[in-house]
Amino acid sequence: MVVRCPTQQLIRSGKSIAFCKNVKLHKRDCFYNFGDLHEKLVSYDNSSNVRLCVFRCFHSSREPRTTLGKLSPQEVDNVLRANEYTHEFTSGGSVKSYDSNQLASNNPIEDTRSEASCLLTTGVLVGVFDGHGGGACAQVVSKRLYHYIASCLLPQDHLKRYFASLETAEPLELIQPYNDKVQFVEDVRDLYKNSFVDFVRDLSKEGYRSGFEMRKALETAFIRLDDDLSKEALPNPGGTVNMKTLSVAMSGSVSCVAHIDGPHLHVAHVGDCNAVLGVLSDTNSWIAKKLTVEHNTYNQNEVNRIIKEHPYNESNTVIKMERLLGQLAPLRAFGDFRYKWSKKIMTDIVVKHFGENSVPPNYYTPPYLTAKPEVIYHRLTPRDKFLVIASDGLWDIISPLQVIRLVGEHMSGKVTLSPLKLPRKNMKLNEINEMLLQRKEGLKMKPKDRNAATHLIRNALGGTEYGIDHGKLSQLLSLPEDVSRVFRDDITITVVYFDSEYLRHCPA
Amino acid sequence: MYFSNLRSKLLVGLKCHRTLSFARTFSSEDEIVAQAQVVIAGAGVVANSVAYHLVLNGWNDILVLEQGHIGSGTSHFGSGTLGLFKPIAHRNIVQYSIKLYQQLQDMGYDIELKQCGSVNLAQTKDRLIALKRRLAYNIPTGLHCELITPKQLEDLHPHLRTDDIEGAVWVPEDAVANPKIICEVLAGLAQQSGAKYKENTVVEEVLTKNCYVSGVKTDKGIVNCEYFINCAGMWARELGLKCKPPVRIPAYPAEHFYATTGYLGQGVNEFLPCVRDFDSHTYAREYQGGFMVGWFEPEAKPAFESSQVPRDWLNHLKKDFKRFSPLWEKAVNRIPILLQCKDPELVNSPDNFTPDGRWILGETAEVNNYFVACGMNGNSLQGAGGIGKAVAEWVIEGEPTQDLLPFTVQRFLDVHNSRHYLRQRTKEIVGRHYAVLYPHQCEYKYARNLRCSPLYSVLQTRGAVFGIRMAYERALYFDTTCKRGDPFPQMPPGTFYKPKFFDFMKEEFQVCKEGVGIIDMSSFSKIEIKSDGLEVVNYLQSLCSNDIDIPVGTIVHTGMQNEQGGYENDCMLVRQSENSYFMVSPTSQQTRVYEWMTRNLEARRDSMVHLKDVTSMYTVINVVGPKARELMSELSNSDMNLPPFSYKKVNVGYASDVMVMSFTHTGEAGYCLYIPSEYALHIYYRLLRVGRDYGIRDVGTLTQRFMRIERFIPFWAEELTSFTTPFEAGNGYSVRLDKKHDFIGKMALQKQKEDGITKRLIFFHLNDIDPDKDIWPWGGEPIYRNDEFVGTVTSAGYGFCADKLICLGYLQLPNSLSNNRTITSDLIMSKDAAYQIDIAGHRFSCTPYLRAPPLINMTVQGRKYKPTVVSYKSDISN
Repeated sequence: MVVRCPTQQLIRSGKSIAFCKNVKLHKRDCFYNFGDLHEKLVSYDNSSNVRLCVFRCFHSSREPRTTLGKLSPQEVDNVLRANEYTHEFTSGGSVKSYDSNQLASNNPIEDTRSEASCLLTTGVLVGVFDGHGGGACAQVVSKRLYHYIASCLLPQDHLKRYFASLETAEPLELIQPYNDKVQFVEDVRDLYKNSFVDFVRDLSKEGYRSGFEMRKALETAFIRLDDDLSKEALPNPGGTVNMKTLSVAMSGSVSCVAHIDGPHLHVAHVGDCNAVLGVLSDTNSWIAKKLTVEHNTYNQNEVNRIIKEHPYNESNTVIKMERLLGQLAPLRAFGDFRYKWSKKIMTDIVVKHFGENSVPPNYYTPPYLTAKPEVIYHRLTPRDKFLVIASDGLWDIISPLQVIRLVGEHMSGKVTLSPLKLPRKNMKLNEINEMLLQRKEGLKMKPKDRNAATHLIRNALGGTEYGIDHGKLSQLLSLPEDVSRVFRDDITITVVYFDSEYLRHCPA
Repeated sequence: MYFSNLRSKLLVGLKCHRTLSFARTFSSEDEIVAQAQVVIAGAGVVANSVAYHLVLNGWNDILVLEQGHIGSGTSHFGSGTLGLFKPIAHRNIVQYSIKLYQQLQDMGYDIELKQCGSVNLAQTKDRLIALKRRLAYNIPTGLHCELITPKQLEDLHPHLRTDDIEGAVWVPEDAVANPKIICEVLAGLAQQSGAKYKENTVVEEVLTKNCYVSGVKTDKGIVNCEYFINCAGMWARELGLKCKPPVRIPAYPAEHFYATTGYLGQGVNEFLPCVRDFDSHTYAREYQGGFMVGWFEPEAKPAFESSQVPRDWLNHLKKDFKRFSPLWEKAVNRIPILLQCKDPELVNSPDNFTPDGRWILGETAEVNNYFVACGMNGNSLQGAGGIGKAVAEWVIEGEPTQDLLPFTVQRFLDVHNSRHYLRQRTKEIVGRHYAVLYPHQCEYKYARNLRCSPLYSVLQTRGAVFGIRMAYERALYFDTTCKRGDPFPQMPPGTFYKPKFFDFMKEEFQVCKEGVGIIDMSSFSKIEIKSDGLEVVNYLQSLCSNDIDIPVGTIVHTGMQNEQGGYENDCMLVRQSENSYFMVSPTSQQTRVYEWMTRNLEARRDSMVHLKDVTSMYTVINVVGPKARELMSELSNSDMNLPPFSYKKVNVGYASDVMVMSFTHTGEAGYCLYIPSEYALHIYYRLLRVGRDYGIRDVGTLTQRFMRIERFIPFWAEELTSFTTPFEAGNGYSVRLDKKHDFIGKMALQKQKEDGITKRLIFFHLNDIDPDKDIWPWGGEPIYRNDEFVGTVTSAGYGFCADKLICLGYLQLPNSLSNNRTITSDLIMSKDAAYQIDIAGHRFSCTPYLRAPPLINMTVQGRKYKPTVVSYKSDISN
């Protein structure tokens, strides 16, 4: 049943082809079976957690994974720390360092992350991308988006100079990526490069843009990249369809990208990742300042926007079962052109390659989906100690405040325990005392992980009132693949630390 | 003018070369007149000069009371030197003195006046700079003086050792005269025109009625009088206390030495110039074929151990040869011929010194019609002539006729008059006359830590380096390298170049521009003005040139003018309620403005208005900078978005009733906090704690000064004086000629507005000067327009925003354009006008501005983000 595109080699790591098998398109069952699966599992639990799991787990691989026995603490550490990454900035801006980590639930993981410094302007870009329908779109977007953003930040004269340098043997570098271990395979690389050069050319032709606006710059970058993804997927004038790019266009990705330059923090956000600021109040308690609001059906503004964008008679179908056209949970995303392309393209191309059912029901007035980001501005103060950007895999299981407290206490080398809850009724006082003493012991512990993202994952999965419960952790990490996705989603976390001294003294 | 009259009167029937032959027409020992218009206490040279100038002006109902006999105080002593090479205000007085003595000589009195000139030596480079700075402003203002080489110096004075001399200044018009004879001649001339002298009469008390002089009680009876002039020299301070209320005259005698050698041979001719060897603290003049050598020792001794200056003071003087010998050696080193004198005759000639080394003149704040002329600081002859004229005219006109602000008796507070304070301070005042006075960097050593803000100790631990104004310790700048537990930082040695602590000032500025700075401004004078009804409004309307009938809760900046339109005060008035105001004036005005306001209150007989000096009740903190608003909002838990020039009482931290005023003295965004002093520490600590996240930092008053200069904000006693008007100072916006109330000076200002002004305050950017290498302007530098002298710099500083040195100064019409009646913008900004400022002999071109040039990098970047382009890296493209 599963149709794979084994030749869709999009991305290549330094040594070997890493993702050749990863982009999968489940041509029929994924869309067919969706309804069934959905119904079955919603009845099982209608928390949003599981709902999202459901949506995603129909992509899970059929390759059976050996069910692991209980993991040893070392094995747990190895699993948790496999994708750790830390970078410290020495250039003296407002960003001191960042910690990042990922834990897969899907195999392969559908989340990606990307961090880079802009080279021609000041500022750092940090983002998390949560793919669906496979990780292809997230992979592609995370690798290309920052170039689009960085060029939108360039003033006209610098943009022209940059454009000119693209013609030379050694073009100027726009960004300095970190933790970037993969690169595109040659043919898509050239295709992507051409799209980008076209974009820079268009930008530089725009003429002098008076009154720079960060919101517009970020929107331009997001929308243009999404347009390019579409263009690249459609048949070239010769009529040939590039299955690689088409598969990217069939998958989708939400994203949350922060641009930090001095005290200026901008977050461009599409979908249901979240960015939360850790603020230390003057009474030394941690406050979680949630910067983003998920673009899903719980976001009334989003729902209103979508309903307004379509004829009145669609208002019952455009959002259905808490999903866009009854299928897609995030209300904004990159890719997912099945919700964007015109009906003609859908018939000519999508149906041809993926069958009738690949067209969503009630598909009358596309586009239904957009990659236009919501841009949030926040001026950093010295009380803003760090920013956590994470995919919903994290936010589904632990609250923003808990996340902030965990990272905050981790900063000061302390552990945080979950709020105390009595496990059962009618406990005796000495039992409670026992509990409290145990808890007191737990509080003495030092965090096990140096990386705050790892610390978060460990606590999110294994945290209890007394400290980390190894059993719980081990169990969650050794779930069989098919089941795993029910209990937890891919988790990607990046924690960006700010330099309070810098923020204290930076000009108002 | 006076002289020609006098001369015609006096010279009738007189032969040339008169000797002293005044009839001693003193009344018999125990009689005393019952009434006189003016009573002068003392018959020294100053007193006689005042009496003489009063009679010249036709005031001859004068009684001069002397406890001994004429000139029996210190007047008959003294070196007799007349030095013109001084700051302008001083020099003008001395210049007149010489002119007067010349007249006396011309009239035939042998006062031994010799215009022998003087040479002023520099042993060090800094001294030479100090001399050159003096040269620079003395030359264009009419003093003949020139810089000479050691070789020329030798020609002028062959007895000098010159091998260690960096340079010298030759002042040909300097002179010497016999102080004793002048003292007697002036007394004689005064008597001739009707002044009565009464010797051997002690003034026991000055009698007052309603704070006006009513008479004098002497050991020979009571004399009723209208005016009293205290010229009692060494006894002036004690006499001042013998009055109800007591009058403060902080002058204290210090031992002061000179020695004479007797005849030293033919080589010492009588026209040898006087020598001032500042760096050896020595002066020397020819005297009776030899030399008279005197010293301004670096650390002097207050005279007389007893609590009072004895009448038989001559018997109480000690000749301290131990102190004297090293000084004598210095003199010998300079004038080797002195070696021939084996046994110099040492004279201890104490004189009155004042806490700041300036004369004390004018009407006291405590008692009306009580005038003072004393504090001659070691040389009474020098000032006597000019001071006599100035004080006589002040008595007659009721206000000074020339700029005497530096000398006013009202520059002091009670604290200055304490004997203990004066004995401390006097020690360094003597030597200070010959010290290199580095601008803003030569603070006093003794008699410190008297008036301190409640924050003093905290600021000290935070690296504050203090300076004083009105005896108030103010943090000049903060040495942030100073760590807790280190000894408190000291000011590094002074310089005429970039101050050695400039980097701290730069940081302080930076924080005011980008974050938030706190400045302790507690020294400002504060007066509460209240009435039961609305009398206070009318009263203030009559004093202030701005319209002060403002809504409650707002603040107005206004001047208080005199009849000529000049400034008597520059202040902020805060309307606290319908019938009460809070006034903030400059630190140095505390005594003077209170006197001005009380006097005008009496004139109105508006006893319904109450004045109260509340300077010490409040601690004032300026919170300055773009982050001030957010910080204050957080601290006070309320919206601090106050409209400019308004005020609000808020709680800050746990302290209540803090007056927050939305203006700063630097021109930056921010607030002035008036804090009841008991809350001062609490609020300061709160500011530091919460302010940490706003990058808060202490800022000193020197930085604040530079900031106000760059904002072209004229300041009291520098730009704003009794002889400058708001229109001249560019403060015309604060004059409301259209308000319905009359106010003092309205007529003059009205006329000036119609006629135009003859001088105008201008802002200059200095070009082609390297602040790292060149001498800085500090004030007093002459300004040239197309090589013509047109004005003097009133204050100068470094403009942090423009990264340029800045001078403010009044421009007057150059002589070549004197057919223009007024000075206009066109004339000032004319393309043909090239401006230069002379800094220690080097002229730097400068650009004039009528208004402060916009502070480009000062414009606070809006909240809107704009990417910053990284400078183009060639290594990438290569």
